[in-house]
Amino acid sequence: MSMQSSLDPQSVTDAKAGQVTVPMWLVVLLAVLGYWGMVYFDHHGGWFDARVYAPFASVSVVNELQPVSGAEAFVNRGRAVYETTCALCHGSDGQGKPGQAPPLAGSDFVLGPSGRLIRIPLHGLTGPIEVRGQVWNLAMPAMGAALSPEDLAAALTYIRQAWGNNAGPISAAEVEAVKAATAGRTLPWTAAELKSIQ
Amino acid sequence: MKVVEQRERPVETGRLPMVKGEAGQPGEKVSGGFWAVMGWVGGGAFGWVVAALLSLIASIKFHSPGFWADTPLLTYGRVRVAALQGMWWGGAVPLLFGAMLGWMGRSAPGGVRFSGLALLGAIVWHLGACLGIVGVLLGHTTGYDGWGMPNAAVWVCVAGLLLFTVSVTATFHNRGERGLQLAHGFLWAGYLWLGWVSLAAFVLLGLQPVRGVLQWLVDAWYVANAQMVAGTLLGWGILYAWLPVWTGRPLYSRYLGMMTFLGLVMLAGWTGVTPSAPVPAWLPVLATVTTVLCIVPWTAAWLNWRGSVSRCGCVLWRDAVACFAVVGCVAFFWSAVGKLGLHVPGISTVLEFTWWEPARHWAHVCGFLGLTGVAGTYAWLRSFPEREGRAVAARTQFWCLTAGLVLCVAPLAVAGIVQGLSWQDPSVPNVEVLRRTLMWLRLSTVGELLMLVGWILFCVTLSSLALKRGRACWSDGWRRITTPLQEQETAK
Ligand code: HEC
Repeated sequence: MSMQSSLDPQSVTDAKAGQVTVPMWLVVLLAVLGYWGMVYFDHHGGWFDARVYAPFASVSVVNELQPVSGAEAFVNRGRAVYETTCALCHGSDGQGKPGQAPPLAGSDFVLGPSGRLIRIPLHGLTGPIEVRGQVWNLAMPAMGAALSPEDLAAALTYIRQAWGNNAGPISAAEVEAVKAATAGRTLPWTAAELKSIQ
Repeated sequence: MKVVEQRERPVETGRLPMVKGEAGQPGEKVSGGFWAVMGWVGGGAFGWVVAALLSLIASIKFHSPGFWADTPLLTYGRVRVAALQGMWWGGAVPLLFGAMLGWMGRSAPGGVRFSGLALLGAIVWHLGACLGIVGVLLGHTTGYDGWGMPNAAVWVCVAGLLLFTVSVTATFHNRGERGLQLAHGFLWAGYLWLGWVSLAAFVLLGLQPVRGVLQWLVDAWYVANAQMVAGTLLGWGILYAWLPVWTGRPLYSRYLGMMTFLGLVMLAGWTGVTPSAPVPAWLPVLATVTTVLCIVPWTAAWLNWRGSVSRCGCVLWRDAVACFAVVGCVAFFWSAVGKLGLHVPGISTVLEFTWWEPARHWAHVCGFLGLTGVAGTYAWLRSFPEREGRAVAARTQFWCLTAGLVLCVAPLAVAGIVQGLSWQDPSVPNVEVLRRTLMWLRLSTVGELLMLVGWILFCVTLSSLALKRGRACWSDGWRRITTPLQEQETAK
């Protein structure tokens, strides 16, 4: 068909569209914008979480800013203490580290009577112990001695309830009671000594 | 390239496009099609006049609140909603549907099929639109910004739409050339998309309203889908349908067209949520990302347009019909830029919640959808002999609409920028901000007045054409009744 400039409606009736292909730069533009879109969404979109509103960008940011109270606040405080005082050896996942410290997740010392557990960080632990069927023969210093009763109670409550552990909380009063009962002790505990405490 | 000849298309006078109808009389089927299409576009033209008038009233009330202040029917809150709803349901949609039916009828050997049903559908549809506008003025609005039609009116419109569907489907099925064109895809997708999103909005907002902020969200989703997806598809469908006719050569690229199509369908529907919306962050962020990604289908549309009209631009501009399409197309790209301004991080903080969005809305609905509808209507009317001598009226109408559009959109956009920038400074009191925009708002009211004149001219043109044709049909029928009798008499 010749290039008619006539605007007569009959001249072209059913001309199809041409076959010119999409220019490469448009495809590249699509890719670039798509990449930008993903990054932008990742940074601002809160990953479809219904609790995240602008100007916040992720649920963890929102959680940090969340005012908490009661048991939840106590556990949060305990996590903070644990992360700074204990996680170096026992790991922030509570699984312990080979040759360095036994796991806390699923340990009988953690889940057992509170009197036993409180004594360990107060004065340390030494000698062979059995945790989850494995024998460890190391020594733990009195890592919790310098902590306030509230902080230690919070940290112990946290390890009793994190990583699938499920034991009751430990109060600051209990810690103070143990402190009073063991005042003057300097030696670390041994497994046998702890076993006798109920 | 080769011209694809249509079967059964004798071009005897260069006027009537098609048809040796199955039953005798050439032109019979077309004239049936004439009234069906005329029903949709003529009613649409009238709808535009009503909507433009209401919008002008709303605009005047904005400057002088005392204007008709005692008439509860015409309070700002009602008139504005009635204008917006009228513009969409009374003006843009029927005009585009009419243009769609006209184009499809033109490429079907028998003309528009079941044209009686289509005409009836048009009447029912416009009845529904009227009901809606009157209902809103009487205070029965839904309270949503986008989905504003009272339920009763929607039911009536649905009935009209179903009748239209029968006719347009049969006409499409009857097309002479079996192969599908880009325009077919765009028009059908636009039509179906409008159908399903409107249905979803009707159920979720009208029949079983959702609760809380979800209402706003559904409404925003609906507006984006109806205007940005369905409206855009219909508008480009009309342009792609007629561009080859205007330029005398095929459309530039099928692939660019497909890119536009897929991009719009997949992305544009998510763009409705504004950045500061009181909803979880992922919704506005998703809207921002998809809006920015829409640059790709928009650019594809631009390239396709540019390629299609290259070296014909002047011809198009000088043509009394195609010039509407040119301005409509410019308005589309303007509204696309406007949409970007509302979402691009940084800029959006200035432009959001200002007059910028009304400016964009005007450009899209009145500019792009309205003017492509006019272009499609006039292009279709070219097939009929009555059009002669109408070019002057079309030209005047064109300048009224174009000048009105520019005067309306540009000042509103400026007002939006002024407003947004002033708001950045908390020491500027809000009254002062308003004062700074007043001048621009007044200008836009002048623009609205011009557009109203343009739409009135369109309406008058169409009705005089219809009148002419009506008279011709009548006298033709009269001759046919009387002639055989005379012959018989002479035979005796
Ligand atoms: C310097 C490394 C280190 C730090 C820090 C440390 N521990 Fe230990 N912990 C050990 C070692 C080593 C053992 C095993 C001692 C043994 O073998 O007798 C142990 C054992 C334990 C046990 C008993 C065994 C088990 O796995 O259940 C508990 C309970 C415990 N630690 C709690 C704590 C708490 C609570 C803190 C923080 C206040 C803490 N530890 C900080 C090294 C550490």
